[in-house]
Amino acid sequence: VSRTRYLVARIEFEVHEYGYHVPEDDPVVPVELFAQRAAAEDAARRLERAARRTLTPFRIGDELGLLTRRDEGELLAALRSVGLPPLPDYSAAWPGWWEEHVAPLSDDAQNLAWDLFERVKFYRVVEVKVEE
Amino acid sequence: MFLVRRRNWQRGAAGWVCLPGETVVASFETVEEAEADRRVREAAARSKVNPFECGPLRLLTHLPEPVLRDWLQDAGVDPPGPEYGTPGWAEWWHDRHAAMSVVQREKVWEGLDKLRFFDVAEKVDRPVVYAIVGVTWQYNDQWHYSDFDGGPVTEAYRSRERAEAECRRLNAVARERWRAALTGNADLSGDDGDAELRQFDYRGPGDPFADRRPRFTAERLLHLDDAPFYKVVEVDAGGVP
Repeated sequence: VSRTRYLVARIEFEVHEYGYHVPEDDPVVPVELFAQRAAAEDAARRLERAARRTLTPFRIGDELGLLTRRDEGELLAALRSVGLPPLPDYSAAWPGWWEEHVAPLSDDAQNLAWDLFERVKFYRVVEVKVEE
Repeated sequence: MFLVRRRNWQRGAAGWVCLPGETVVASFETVEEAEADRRVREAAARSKVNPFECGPLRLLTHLPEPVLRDWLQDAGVDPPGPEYGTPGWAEWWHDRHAAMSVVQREKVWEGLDKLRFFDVAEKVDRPVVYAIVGVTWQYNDQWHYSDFDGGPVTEAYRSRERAEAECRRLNAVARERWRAALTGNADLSGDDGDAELRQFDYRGPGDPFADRRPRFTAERLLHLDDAPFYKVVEVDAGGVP
């Protein structure tokens, strides 16, 4: 008998000097299986938030197009809307900017800032058939 | 069983970044053996890495910066002065670490108590399933290579035997598909054909702390008939009654 189950999976990608690279077939590493989608989504969200607490999007890449679907103007407006100052002109200063302005914020506020960089995801839920 | 795991450190444009995930590199019966192995690996990694390129100080140490400076001075290490600007730690380490004694270098690392490249985890008995994970192959214009741990996942089994059997079947189907793609269904029996089908470098996630990737040799290339396209992976199923 096969049943549909929900796998929390870590999205695998490579960071390199020019940004990051995800192969075409979107590889994932299985983490934990759940019977219900809601429970899996909860677990994935918890893991995503835990990862975000110690990571800075600009250490993963400094090319905005790899981090967000927004263009630079839209990103600056969105940062303003969550109470953050503008990014420095030079991308080399962006990780330090994040450390100064975002890292000290509450978990919820950091999460809101991370949401602006929606192209960087660490976990997702994958539907799998499990033969019992 | 105690697992020694390499954390998922990768080298980016702004220094080292520790992504989620670990790779198991060894396993031991006792925690003491595992810790001893971890210490050896940790020391080897430390000899290759500038610790201050591994993130902001808050992620490297529990010590506030002034306390870290005092800690270093107590060990006879002069922390970065104003000539290094702010934050300046990475440049300071780059310039000064070679002139420090072994004890002084160890003192710096000891102060950076949150920075670890390996950890030890106990393998806990939990319900598991056996997932079939596709192997991620990429192409470099000369041969196919796989340096990712993961791949697509669509099915899993309660029984390892069933998973292994299905994995063998999927591998056989995939090899036929690849054979057709690589040869255009031409008969490539003989030495030339063998070379045509021997183009799979299955190396898995690389060690970021190695001096360099293992030197490529043609002998390392697997023949299509030996290359994996699917593998069985044990998955924690504690969330399934």
